[in-house]
Amino acid sequence: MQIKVIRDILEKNDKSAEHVRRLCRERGITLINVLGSPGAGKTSFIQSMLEHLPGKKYVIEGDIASTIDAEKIARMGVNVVQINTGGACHLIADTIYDALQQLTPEAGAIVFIENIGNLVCPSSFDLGESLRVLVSSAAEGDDKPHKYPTTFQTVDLIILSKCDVKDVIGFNDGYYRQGLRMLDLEDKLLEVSFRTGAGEQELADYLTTKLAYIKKGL
Amino acid sequence: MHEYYVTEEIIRIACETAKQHQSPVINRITVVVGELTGIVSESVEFYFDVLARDTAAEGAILHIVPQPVSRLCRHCQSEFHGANAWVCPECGEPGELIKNGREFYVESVDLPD
Repeated sequence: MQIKVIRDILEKNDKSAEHVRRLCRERGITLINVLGSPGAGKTSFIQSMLEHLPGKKYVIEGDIASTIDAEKIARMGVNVVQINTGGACHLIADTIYDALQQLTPEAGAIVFIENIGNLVCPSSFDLGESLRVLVSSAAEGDDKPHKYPTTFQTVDLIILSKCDVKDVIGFNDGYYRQGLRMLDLEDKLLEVSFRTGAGEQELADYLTTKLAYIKKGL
Repeated sequence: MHEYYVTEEIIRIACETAKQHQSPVINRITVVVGELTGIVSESVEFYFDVLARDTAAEGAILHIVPQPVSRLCRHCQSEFHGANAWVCPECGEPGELIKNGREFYVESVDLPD
């Protein structure tokens, strides 16, 4: 006897993500999910935005092991919760819900989630975020949009970080942008170097505007 | 890489279905996996044997149906496949997306009669 099922395999996580989304909506919290390879500059991006963006901010740090990044954030005087997945390659919405209960962010706050460094798995898991950002560093090479299209296609904003090393490593801008164009994503790209500060203010201004639109539900 | 988690979910959904139909045994589970989900079928099969132990799904056949990205040609109405196949191979016209390659669901569960 064959039973027709048609049930989404990620339904449990999707349901938890909806709980997170509802919680954030009720409390006026903006949740930003930050994706990227190990060493792409996710923590640097978050640290930069903690300094540049107005209002109260919090951080949820996801790592397979260690509290290195959480300690960096805590030293800035920002409330942070560390999630260690112990091997799992992505964060799931349930753990974000628990972390939010622990953080108890005040109304109107921004909460950054630094996902596990991985350019594949985290893109499949909705965490209930209102904005998904990819930090893609020039140091990883100019072929990343060509090789990891799925992750690129799921994000709202692509930050090309470490732009100061482009010349040193022979980064081909045209090839990188061709990859984005192929996926119709070129207008989502912003370039920055968190080391030199180039493009940092523009990124903060862009995000401030974008977050204001999100808050208005636009 | 996240196949462990998704395999647990496949087994959970299949076992729930079996329980609803008062069946202690599952013969077969059919799962549809789109080509852009990034799921590696071999890894799911590997975890399945381990995770299904001592559940209704133990010994069940796991049937994975790959689902390619599919487009329908606006001009000649022929269907063509592939994540990077943007235009119709017959007439060169762009195609309309009909399967986006992100399908990922349990399609059916076969129980003993």
